[in-house]
Amino acid sequence: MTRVAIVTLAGDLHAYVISKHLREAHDIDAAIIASDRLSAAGGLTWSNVDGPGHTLPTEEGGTVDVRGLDLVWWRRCHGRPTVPDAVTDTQLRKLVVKDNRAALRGTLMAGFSGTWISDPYATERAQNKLLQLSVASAVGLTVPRTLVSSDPTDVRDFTRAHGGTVIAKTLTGLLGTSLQAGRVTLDSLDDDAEISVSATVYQEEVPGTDHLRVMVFGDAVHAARISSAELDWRLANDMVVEPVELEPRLSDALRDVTRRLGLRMGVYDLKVRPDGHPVFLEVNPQGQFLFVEGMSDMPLGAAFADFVAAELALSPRSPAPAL
Amino acid sequence: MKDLSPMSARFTRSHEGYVHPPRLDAWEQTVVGPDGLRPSWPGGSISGSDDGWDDCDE
Repeated sequence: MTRVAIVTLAGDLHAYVISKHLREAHDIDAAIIASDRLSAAGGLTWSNVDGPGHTLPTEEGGTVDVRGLDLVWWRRCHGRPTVPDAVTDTQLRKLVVKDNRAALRGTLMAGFSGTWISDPYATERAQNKLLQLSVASAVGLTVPRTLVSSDPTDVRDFTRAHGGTVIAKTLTGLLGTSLQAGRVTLDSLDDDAEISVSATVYQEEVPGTDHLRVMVFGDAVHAARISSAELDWRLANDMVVEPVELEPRLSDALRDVTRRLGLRMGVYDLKVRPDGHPVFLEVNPQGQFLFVEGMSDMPLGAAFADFVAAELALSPRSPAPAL
Repeated sequence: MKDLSPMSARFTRSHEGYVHPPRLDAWEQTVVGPDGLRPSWPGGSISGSDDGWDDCDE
C-alpha cells in the first residue's frame, strides 16, 4: 500500500532517487504526483458525497487516495504546468492552472491527515528572506548586515557605510532565469529610477572562499563545504564539495531555525569568514541536495530516505474528525 | 536570458561559460542508468535556490 506521496514537478531527479531508496532500503512505496502535469491527466477527484475517492493522479498514470497516505513530501508545486493546446485563450489557460493547483492543495488539505515535509504554508512563509534573517539572528547566528529597500537614498547611504561596495541580490527566484548575487558599487547606484523600480536585498560582503551547504533533515544535520573563488558558487566551474563536521552549537542553531520556521527540513547556505566564523545567508525550505551527493559522494539520498522512513514511523495520522 | 532592464545592470545572470560538472554528469548516469529518465533539476539549477520556487504563472 502506498503510504508516501511526493508532490513535485514531472521528471524530478530528487523524487526518482528518493523513491528508489525508499523502495529498496525500506520497502516503502512512494507515489510521485507531478504538480505541473495535472491538466488532462485525469484522476484528480474530491467529493463530500459517498462514492468518489479523494484521489490525485500519479506520474505513472495511476491514482492515489490521499486518505490512505501517512506522509507527503511537499517538494515543488509550481513550475510551468502544461495545458492542452486546445485551450487557446490566455485567461482560460491561467484559470486551468489555478484551478488544478487549488484542487491539488484542497484535496490534500481536506483529506490528508499525516505528516508533511514540510507544511505547505510554513514552506511558503519560510521562503521570505527578511523573515529568515530575523529568525537566524534571533537564535544567535551571525547574519550579514542587510538592507532591503527601493529607496535610492537609503541604498546609497547603506553602500557608502559599507565601504562603497555591497552585494545585491533578489528577494525571490525566477523560473528559467538564473539570478545570481553580484557586487554593486556606489558609482553604479546613480540612477534613482533603477533603484526604485524594485525592492532589492543589499548586504555587506562576507569575505572568503568557503561556503557551507547544510542539510537539516529532522534532527539530522549533514554539512558540505563548497570551495569556490566565485561570489556565487551555483554556476561556478571551480566548485569543490566535501563533507564537513559542524560545531554542535551551529547544528543546534540550524535545527532551531528549522523548527521556528515550522519546517521539517531545510537546506542552508552559509559562508565561512577567513577567521573560520560561519555566517548565515539563507535557507531553502525545499532546496536541492543531491548535487552535493554527486559532487562529494555523501550519501544524502539514502539519508533523506532514512529521514522519511523515521517520520513515517512517527506519523500521527489520525482518523477523520467526528462531527 | 530575459532582459530585466533596468535591474539587469545590477545583477550578473548568465550561464555563459558554465559547464555542468563532469563528476555530476557521471553520478547522474549511475543513478538513472544510460536508458533512464533524463534527470531534471527543476528550473535548471542544481541548487534550487534560484529556481523560482514561488513562480506561479503558467
